[in-house]
Amino acid sequence: MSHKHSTPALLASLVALCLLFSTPTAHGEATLREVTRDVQQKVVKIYGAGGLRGLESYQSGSLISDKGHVLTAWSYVLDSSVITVVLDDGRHFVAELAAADPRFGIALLKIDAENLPHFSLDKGVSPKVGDRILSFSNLFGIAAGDEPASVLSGYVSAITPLEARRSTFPSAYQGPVLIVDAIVNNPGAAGGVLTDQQGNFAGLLGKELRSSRNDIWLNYAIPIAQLREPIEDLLAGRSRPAIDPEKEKPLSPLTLQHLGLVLVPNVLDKTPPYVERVRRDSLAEAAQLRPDDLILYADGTLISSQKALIETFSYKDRDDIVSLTVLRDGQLVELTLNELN
Amino acid sequence: MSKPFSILSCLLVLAALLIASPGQAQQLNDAEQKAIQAAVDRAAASVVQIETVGGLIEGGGPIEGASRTSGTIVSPDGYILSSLYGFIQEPSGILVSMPSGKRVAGKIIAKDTQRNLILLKVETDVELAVPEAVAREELQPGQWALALGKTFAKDVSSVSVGIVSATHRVWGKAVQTDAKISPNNYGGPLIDIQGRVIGILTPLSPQDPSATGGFEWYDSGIGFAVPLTEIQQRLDTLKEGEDLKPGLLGINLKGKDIVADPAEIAAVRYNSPAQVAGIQEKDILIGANGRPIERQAQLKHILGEAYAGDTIEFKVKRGEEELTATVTLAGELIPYERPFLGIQLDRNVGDAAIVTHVFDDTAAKSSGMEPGDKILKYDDTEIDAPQTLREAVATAEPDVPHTLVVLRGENVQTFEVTPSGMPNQFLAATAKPKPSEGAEPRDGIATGESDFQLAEEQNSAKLFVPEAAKTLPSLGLVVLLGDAEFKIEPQWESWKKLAGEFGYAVLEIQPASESRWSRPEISVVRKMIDRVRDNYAIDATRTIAVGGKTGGAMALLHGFENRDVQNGAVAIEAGIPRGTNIPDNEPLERLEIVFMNPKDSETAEKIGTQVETLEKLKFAVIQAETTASGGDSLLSEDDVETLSNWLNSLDRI
Repeated sequence: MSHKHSTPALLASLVALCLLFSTPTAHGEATLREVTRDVQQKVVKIYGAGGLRGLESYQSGSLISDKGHVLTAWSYVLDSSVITVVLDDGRHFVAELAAADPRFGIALLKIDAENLPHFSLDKGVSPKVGDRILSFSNLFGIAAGDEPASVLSGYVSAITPLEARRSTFPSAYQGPVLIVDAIVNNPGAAGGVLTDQQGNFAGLLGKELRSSRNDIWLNYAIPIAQLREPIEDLLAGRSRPAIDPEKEKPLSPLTLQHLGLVLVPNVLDKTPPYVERVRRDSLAEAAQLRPDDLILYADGTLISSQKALIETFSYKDRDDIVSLTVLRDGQLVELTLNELN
Repeated sequence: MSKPFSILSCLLVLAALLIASPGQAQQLNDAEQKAIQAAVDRAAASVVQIETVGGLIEGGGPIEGASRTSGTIVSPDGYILSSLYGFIQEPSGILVSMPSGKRVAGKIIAKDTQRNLILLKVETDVELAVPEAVAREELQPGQWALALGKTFAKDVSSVSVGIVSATHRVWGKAVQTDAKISPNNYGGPLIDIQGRVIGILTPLSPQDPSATGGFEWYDSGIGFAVPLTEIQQRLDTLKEGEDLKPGLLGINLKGKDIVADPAEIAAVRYNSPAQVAGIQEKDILIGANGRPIERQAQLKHILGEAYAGDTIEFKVKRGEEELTATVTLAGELIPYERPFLGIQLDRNVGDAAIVTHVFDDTAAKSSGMEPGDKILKYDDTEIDAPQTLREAVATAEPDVPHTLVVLRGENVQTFEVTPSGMPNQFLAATAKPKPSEGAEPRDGIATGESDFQLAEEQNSAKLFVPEAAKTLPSLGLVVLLGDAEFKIEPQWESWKKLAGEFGYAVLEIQPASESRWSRPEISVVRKMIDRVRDNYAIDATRTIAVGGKTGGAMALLHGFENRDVQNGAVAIEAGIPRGTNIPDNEPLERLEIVFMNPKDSETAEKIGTQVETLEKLKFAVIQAETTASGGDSLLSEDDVETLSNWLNSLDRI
């Protein structure tokens, strides 16, 4: 290893590299510029209710048909008698709320305009982890009038379900989301668009969400593949009612008492679900649970504390078959509740 | 070029590909995407998801660890490195999802508290993929850096793309990147564009050495990775179950500006590695292991890369002489106990040490010292100000007699004193501060109550300054930290009432959320105290923070990190949040602590082990009961008076 030797070689290659690269780089950037300009014309600024208690009164949306349909996020901003849509060229329209689907957190607005530039959802793409993406929205409301939406560049970090029902994220939507490494979910960004680097629709930016598991703000978009059907419904004028998560719980849920399971005293914020006692002739005994077992998973869901275990059980019917993974003497042991034998 | 597969050759191939089909504008972007994918694919098999279950949250800390984190395989037989951040709650179960999809139990082997890493071990019957590492000497700021994690999914790595921002950050402990680093990838690797591991992702902070220090920068474009090649050199130590700790010297430096001041020794701790190696007060450290030290920051860099047990050869300048001192850094110093002579000095006299009070049952009392004595010498140190005596007593050898020369009336007398430790209880009240005779009120000092806010912060605050500020040479300062459960309003009047009598200003600060304090707000408290100090003559030795619940935790946290402006912390129904780094008790850094709880409070029991830890570190800790009889306020007027008396005695020597 000698630095003296490598330095001139390094310089020479750098020079060569610059020469080689000059043309394609310029082209690469030109395309990105063209794509950006093209997409910005399909993104709109939306103004409605809010302004109180630090809630913003604006968000973002995108044109998805030549008849003036605007796709956006379903939020309190739309809870207003007057919703204003401002196009990229600065034109103002009063919009009508055509339909909404709270299950996906999306809504469709209609403005009285035709032949506007718009996304073709048929050309929607599903980027992979590590792919470059662009995000378009009016985050923080910094674009006004005929100013185009802000564009951010980044990469897809992960594709993962939101685990909403586990109350990790306070969101009705529970399906997979695209996690990105650009800071895209800011006030006003909801309803904006995530595209690939060719400008194809990849996802809809959701509302700001903070993981209750680790207190981290999430940067995400709902993939177009998940939205195709609900959007078709919205275009056909079919709204969907919201779902109350409490109603998903069974009438007679699984409880510790029903199982005959006694855990160690729950005195901490995150008391580990250690088994203290198993009542004789109980379901817990039938499942071969033993004192000092640490319950780690229930039906594949990680149980981080006694609170989480009780919450998970509350979504199970008391007759459901539930698999448990426990830690016993440093070994993982698989058990089954309510198994018929 | 000795590396056959360097970044350059990669790029050259890439460029050649592009030339082959010119005009295809999108190709560069596509090629970039492919290069990223290839790099991720090379390293992904060595990244694992780690799930932790259960754990403890003590003392009402605002932060808890994630229950899911990432790890990086470092040996084929099942050793895995992760960030300490995911383990601060001391989980009772650790599960590692192996690349095969199998989930196995993991065991903590050892920790590196210097760089916030942890080594785990899992049993495996197959050889695991160990990634190739790249030394940081080969890195250049600006090159690609990809951060991988597996918190979102067990099988697919998450990817955040950025560049290397700097190669030596946080006192040389880590490489810096602008890829988005957060609990979502702590413990995972930072890799280069060839898929070689640069380092392990973990939060780090130049100011806060605790496991959560630097967390506040998550996803901000400021992230850190501890170089893997450097940890590999120490892996055998960790595998043996031996923790790696910061290496300690046992010195205090003179001056606060670490990027300007030389590394001149202000104090050497007794029985510390520095003292054993013969380093003395007033020595200047000018080099270490062949690297020059011109400023204190360079010494911090050298120590930042070293660990306890490492040997450093220092070049020392003593007067005109240059010496060498070989020091073996220690993991722990013998705790420093502050010697207590048992006197208080006249605050109105700045150029001499005149005794105003001698406390009962102290070294000063039993040797026969009296109020009015003027102290001339402590051992060989000439005393020309209260501060000189304070430092001489604080840095003197412990547990041996010292000579004290005083002027009493016309006579010079010599006493022999053996100071004991600081008391762990409230002392009897001493005289309240009085202005010197005939002192005229000074102009231009604003007194009374006023709102107080920093333009850039959301925290609201108010300040009360008593009339006494115009005549007293200096004031104490009480910083009140309330939250939703511990309200300041019902006790505000009590503090105001006693402020003039005891000569202190009162500053109340609200948390930004108005309900609870969060760790990053330490800097807000500091800024507000600094603002008060800019406008009034505030005595740091008589500055205390008093808080309840999360405000109590803040009083302690701010105290630990800001002993230059705060010397007392009172925590009411609160303890030290988990993950807090408790600093060593130091001769020139002082913090006395009071825990107050209502009778039969559960908190008093819960903080028992914390009090033990602090006492082991020889902190002066007082445990007391509050006397409030229900109602809104947790502190009664009597409690406020007790604390005021305590504040009034804090400048004791």
